[in-house]
Amino acid sequence: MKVLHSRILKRFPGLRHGTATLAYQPLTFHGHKSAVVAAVRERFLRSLDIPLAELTLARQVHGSHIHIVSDAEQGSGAKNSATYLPAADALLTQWPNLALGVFTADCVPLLLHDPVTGWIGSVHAGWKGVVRGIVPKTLATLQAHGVRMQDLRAWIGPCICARCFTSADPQWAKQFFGFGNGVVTRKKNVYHINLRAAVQQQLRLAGVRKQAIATEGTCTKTNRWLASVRRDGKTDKHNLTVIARHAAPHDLRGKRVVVFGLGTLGGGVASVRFAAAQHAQVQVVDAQSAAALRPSRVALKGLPVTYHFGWPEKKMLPPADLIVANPGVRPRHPALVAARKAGARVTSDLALYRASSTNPIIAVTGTKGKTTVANWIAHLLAKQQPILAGNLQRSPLEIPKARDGKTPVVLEVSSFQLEHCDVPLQPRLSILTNLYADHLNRHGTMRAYAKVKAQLFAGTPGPVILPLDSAWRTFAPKLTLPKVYWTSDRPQRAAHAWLAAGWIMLRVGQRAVRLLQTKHLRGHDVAMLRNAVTVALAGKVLGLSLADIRKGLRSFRGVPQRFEVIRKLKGRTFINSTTATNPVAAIAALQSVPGRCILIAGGASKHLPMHAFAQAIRLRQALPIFLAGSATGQLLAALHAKHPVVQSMQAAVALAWRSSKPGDTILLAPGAASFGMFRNEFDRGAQFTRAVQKLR
Amino acid sequence: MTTAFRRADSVYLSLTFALCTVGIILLASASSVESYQTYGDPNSMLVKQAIALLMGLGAMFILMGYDYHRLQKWSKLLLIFSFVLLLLPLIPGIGTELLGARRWISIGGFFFQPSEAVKLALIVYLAAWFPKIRLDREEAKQTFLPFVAILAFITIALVLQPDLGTAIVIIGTAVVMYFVAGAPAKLFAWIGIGVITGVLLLIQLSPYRAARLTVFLNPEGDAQGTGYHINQSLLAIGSGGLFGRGYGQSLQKYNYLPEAAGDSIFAVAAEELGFFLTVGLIALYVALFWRGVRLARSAADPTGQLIVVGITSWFIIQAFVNIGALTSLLPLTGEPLPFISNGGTSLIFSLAAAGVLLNISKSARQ
Repeated sequence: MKVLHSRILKRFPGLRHGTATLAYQPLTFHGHKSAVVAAVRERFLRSLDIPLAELTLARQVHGSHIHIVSDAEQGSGAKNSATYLPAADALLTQWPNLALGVFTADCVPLLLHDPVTGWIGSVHAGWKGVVRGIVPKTLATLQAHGVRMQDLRAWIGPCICARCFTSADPQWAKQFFGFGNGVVTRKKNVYHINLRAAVQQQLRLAGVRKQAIATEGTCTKTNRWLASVRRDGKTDKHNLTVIARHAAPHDLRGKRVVVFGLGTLGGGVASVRFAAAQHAQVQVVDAQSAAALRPSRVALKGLPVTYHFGWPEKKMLPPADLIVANPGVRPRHPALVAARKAGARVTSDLALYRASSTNPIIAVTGTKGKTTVANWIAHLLAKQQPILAGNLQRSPLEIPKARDGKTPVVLEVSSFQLEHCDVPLQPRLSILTNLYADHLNRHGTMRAYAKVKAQLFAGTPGPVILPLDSAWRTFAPKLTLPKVYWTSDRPQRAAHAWLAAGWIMLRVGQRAVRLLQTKHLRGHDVAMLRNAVTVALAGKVLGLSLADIRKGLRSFRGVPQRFEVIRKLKGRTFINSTTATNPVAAIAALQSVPGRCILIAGGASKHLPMHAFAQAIRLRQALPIFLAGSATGQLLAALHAKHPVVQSMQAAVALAWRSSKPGDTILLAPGAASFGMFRNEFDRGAQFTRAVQKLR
Repeated sequence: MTTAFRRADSVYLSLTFALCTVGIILLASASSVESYQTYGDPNSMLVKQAIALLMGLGAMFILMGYDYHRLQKWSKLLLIFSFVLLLLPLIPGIGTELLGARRWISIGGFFFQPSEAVKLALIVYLAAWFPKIRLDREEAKQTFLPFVAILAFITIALVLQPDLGTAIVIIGTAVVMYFVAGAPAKLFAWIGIGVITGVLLLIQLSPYRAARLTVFLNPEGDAQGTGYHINQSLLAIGSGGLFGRGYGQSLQKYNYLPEAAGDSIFAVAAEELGFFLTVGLIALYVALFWRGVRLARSAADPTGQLIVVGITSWFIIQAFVNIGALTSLLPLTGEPLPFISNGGTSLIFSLAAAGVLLNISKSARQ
């Protein structure tokens, strides 16, 4: 036995903990060379699969000060005594990859873990600490950060037992009289103090469940593999107890995994590969036909996967332990409801990724501008070679570097993806670009929509960037967030970044700083400026210098398929803005076009009001060509006029070309969904580009 | 202690039961001739051994439930008491002489062999003592002399009986424990020199040891004299062949092989059961050893670990010394095969030791 463990904490995959025995010495720097101590610590931590660089220690003072460790403090005191965190006897953190350590020799090392929020803690509870209430104070701090006591797990590590912890002094023993039964016993005029029982009672009083407390039975004084001050006097030997939370890869070996909705955007393919790589029995279920999913099937060729295509809506899913639902599948899909009832866990590719990786995530969500902001932030962070992944991009599951524990991952997250995400994403930085009426056909009400968006940063330890002037503030659910930064499109007192008279402004401390004149940006439309404000603030929160932010803002060229100029032919400009899938985005695109505009719009309805879009088309005097679909019907009704409706993208482009004259702009900004005529919005954009390139 | 509610290692317990069962079965056959000649009843020795087995199992279950930490407190007293017992056979009138050796004391018709008690008492004592000192430091040197003195005392007492085999097992076990406790390598060189000197001295003192050594090197040299035992043993093992003569069919046990039910039982087993089943028997000892090493690794404290190490090495060394002697791998010494050979004291104390070990396994961790 070289390391002591707790059975209760061992159950959590990804949670690593243990107490070093005397087989590992010296562990403290007193009178030893730093390099020697670091080497011993490394050997001990390696046995727990924790890198030394994660070990974080504070100067312990038998007090009751609590320190919340941030990820920037990772490794404090690991390699030399100069970097110990300031005096504290309890260390708490919600971050992964931080090994909180506590030294004891007869005192109680107390480890805490909340599997729901991911908080971990290490507490040095000597008799002085116990009397001063370090344990209840620590629990109160956790509670203030949203940890529920009934979720908490605790391990009372090796300490001195009641038989060995004695004193004849009644004045000293009196301090423990306030505790309940069994803490102080008196035998032959000698008082025995049961520190374990004292800590146990403090935990129970705070509401920690009895079954959630494990107590190490061995006594530090009698067990000579453990350091003891009462046995050896002042000693250079100590017991080091550590706890760290790492990513827990879902153990899918041999499990029945059903990927529900393969799709062609990559998320489904990534999930299948991930599950198959772990030797799960994978089945794919999709309502679409085999022909429609050809690209995905080709990508999965050779993997041992059972396919069920053309799956009817009402049919039950095959029995499964885990269902990876495509974002396109609504959460209350009858098949999912039935599977949940049958005991299956429903999750998403993002949740699988989060559970198997500890990389810092910068998550971007919002009704519009997600893609631009995510791309832009990745551009800003270019030096750190970030990974861009998520909604409509590559799935992070597919990227090995996204699981190396350090490369930042800029994740674009749609509300659909969040719905199936059963693991908190806990981003390093969460960003909500804006919130408009969208996807109400799926979410029902704005309040429900906002609630789904809020799942991104519910319980996150990191800062959050929110839009001050949008529907968010009206519909936001009640949340406790650690630190909120606000963006705005006009000067406001509460804003941390905003637009003002041609400038992007940033609050630095108490001062408002003019960051960049908007004319220096490549795109001038309002949506682009709003995005620039969000990106600038994100850069600031991520700790970039103002100069770097300026440079990154100026040099960004935009995102493909988002107001992308694809061709200039005989005085006509062709712009592809296929990602404008809702009226608001389409209006923004329309208003950004100079001169006469031929607009290709319409498609499948998302049950959004189309009046504003119709009005914008009228005011802008644009010449609309409509793609057939339910939204087109809504638009035509709102426009009260006859406009051409075509059945294919090729016909639309041909008609636009015929009706155009030099100086015109031909814009694809549908303001509607792509379903029906196209596989997805990118297919729509690609078809547009192809048709345009064919023009002569 | 929470450990009281945990379960003892079932694998080790099963292995112990298996060895005892095999032992009783083998003894039933091997002892019949000697038993009939001595007591007029072929089952008399079997019944005595069965009584010892029941007593041993009783001791095992009692010690299984007795927290081994509490043995620490008694360890010194137990050791001194066992030393006193060890000297008793040498005192004329108390000790009983059998086969030219004074190893036994007679208690109400039963013979008691104190050297078996010394094995267990010494293991517990050393396991309680070693963790208190820092063997990796200067203190190690101060402990060396007391350690050697204890071993020397036991050796001399045993040599006078004479029982060199037990001395070898005890010294071997103690040295393994000293090593596992972390004593510096330099001291082992001294122990090695001491043991070799001692052996040479003993051979000089009594000519029969020199003769045994000569026989070991050349078994056929004096087949009717000193080499008789080893030759009869090899004859028995050889005539067993691959599949044996069949249970109960041994010819060698008819007065050819000395101590057929005692120290030589392995040869009878080989003759009756053949090569494959005998290898199975050896495999049982190897399994017991392997399980013991695993339990030692997972023991909860240094004392527990050292006791497990001591008991495990005791069993394996003794089995090796016994089987090695009968197969002519080692010079002949009189050591019983643990759990199997006839001899109540040996069986009772082996089972008691297994009980202590099983108690330690209750608080083992992964």
